[in-house]
Amino acid sequence: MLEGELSGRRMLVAEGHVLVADDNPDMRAYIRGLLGIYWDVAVAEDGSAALEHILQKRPDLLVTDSVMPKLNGFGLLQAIREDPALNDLPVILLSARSSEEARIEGLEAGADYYLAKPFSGRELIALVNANLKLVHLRRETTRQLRESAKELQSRTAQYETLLHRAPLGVYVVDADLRLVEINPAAMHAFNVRCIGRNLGEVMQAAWNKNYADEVIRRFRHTLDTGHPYTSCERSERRIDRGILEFYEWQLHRISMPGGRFGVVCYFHDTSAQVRARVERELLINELNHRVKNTLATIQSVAAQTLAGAGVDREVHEALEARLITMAGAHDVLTRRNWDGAGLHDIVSKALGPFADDQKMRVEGPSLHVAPTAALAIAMAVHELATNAVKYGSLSGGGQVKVSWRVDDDREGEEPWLHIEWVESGGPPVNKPARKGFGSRLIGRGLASQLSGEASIEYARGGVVCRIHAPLSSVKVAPVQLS
Amino acid sequence: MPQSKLSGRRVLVVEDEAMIAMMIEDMLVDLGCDIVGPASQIAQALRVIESEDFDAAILDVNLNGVQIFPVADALRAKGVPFVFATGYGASGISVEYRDRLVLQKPFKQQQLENALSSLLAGSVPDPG
Repeated sequence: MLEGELSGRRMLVAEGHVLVADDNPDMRAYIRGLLGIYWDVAVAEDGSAALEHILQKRPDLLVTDSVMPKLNGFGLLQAIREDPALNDLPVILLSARSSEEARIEGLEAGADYYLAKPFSGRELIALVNANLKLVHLRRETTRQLRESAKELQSRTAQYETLLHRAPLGVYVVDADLRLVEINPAAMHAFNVRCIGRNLGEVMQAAWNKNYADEVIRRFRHTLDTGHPYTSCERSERRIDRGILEFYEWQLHRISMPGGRFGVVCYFHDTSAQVRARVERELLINELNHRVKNTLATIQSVAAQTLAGAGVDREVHEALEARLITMAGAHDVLTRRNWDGAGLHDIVSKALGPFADDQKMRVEGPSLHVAPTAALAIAMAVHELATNAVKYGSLSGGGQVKVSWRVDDDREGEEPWLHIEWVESGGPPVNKPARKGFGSRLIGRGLASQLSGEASIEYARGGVVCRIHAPLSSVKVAPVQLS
Repeated sequence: MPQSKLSGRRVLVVEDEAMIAMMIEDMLVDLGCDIVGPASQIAQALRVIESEDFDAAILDVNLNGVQIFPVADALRAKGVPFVFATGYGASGISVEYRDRLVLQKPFKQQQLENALSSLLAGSVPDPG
């Protein structure tokens, strides 16, 4: 808005394009001169020329005479008011008739203002300015309305997208616990179209009364207090479907249109995961049962066979001890659902039958070992311990120390695990004349199983066994999901 | 055969796998025990419990896919001590029997002897 002056009075001038229609050239020139000081003014010499101008370049305001050739002021007004694109154009109608009747006639024809000639120039200017201000005000309001509508529309679309594409079940109840919104992910939990129905009824149709009542109590509590609620994972039998379903759900109080509260429930059907978990546990239990029974059957077959062949009892016992160590490693693995075992547990379990806590020390950082490596290490420890009990430190007064370390500061190279078996305090050691099963198992089997190296040193002070392997071949590899 | 403190004890064996039952029998014979059974089914085991007297029992937890616990209930009612033999580990034992002795399969004769001795500690051998 510009600042202007009207006969010594300051006024704020609203910008605008004004069309003046009058067949009298003097009057046209006079009005143009008056208004041209403040506004961009165009003129037309009759109604028809004015209409043509309006259609080409819409003015913000029309000042028109009543009596003109071709199309008079009333005809022009009618054409403007009948055109939806123009009907909000403000029109000031000028006329030589000043009677009340004539004014009413002019206003009824659609004029915004009726000004009788002769008129004061100041009045016309003030009138044009006031009308232009209204135009601007109307335009601004319309623009704001349009923007709000657009904003509302885009927010609504966004809300609906969020709700409808959410992978969670979402539904909303009002303050009377009537269902007002259910997203597609929630539909599978409901039997029929439930919008508008009472949540209590819907719940009682699906679940036993106790559970349905408990759910409703939770909703009411959140509605009354505003405290959110998070359920634990729990299973309930659907009375309508006859199956167990597991859900985790959350309640939050929200404001609803109309100023009341409502409650939104977000839920997740975890039935499939729970079933998979239970099946996995059953499968692992079954696997373990089979493995152990198979080992026990082998134990029995071996015992019958060896007894029948008159083989030394000692041989029988060695075989039995090896089988039991394998079974023991399986035990440790089963406790961890076969995703590996702690190295400490594996070593202690294999050593357990041979030495009490005073005679053995097992120490090293916590390390999670893959099943195959765990089994191989358990068997190696078993063989070393068997030997130690027969000939080595555990045959009289000595000790065994099993320790390990991981060197993970080898620049740029993969870390290795170093396991050391050290016997001490036993009788002097002699290197055995021939390689037994134990040393073959360690020197060849274990080393290649772990992609590493293993050595047994028959030092005078006691047997020392060293196992070196890249950590990656010992540790549990992260699960690869394809 | 060396006389063991378990000599003359009557022990019920419930085990569905024949080879394993045979081995347990051999171990028991070695320990000087008398064998009752072996039973390989729940119903059979329950009949034996009803009709025979014995000092202790060894129960396989899984009899061909059926859990042994009705047999454990009957033994408990009769007041006969028992040990479970299982490949499942303690987690496979029903909660009410978690405090009972469990032998992890496969087991050595020494372990069986220890378990039976602790079951029968303080009791007098059945003269029958």
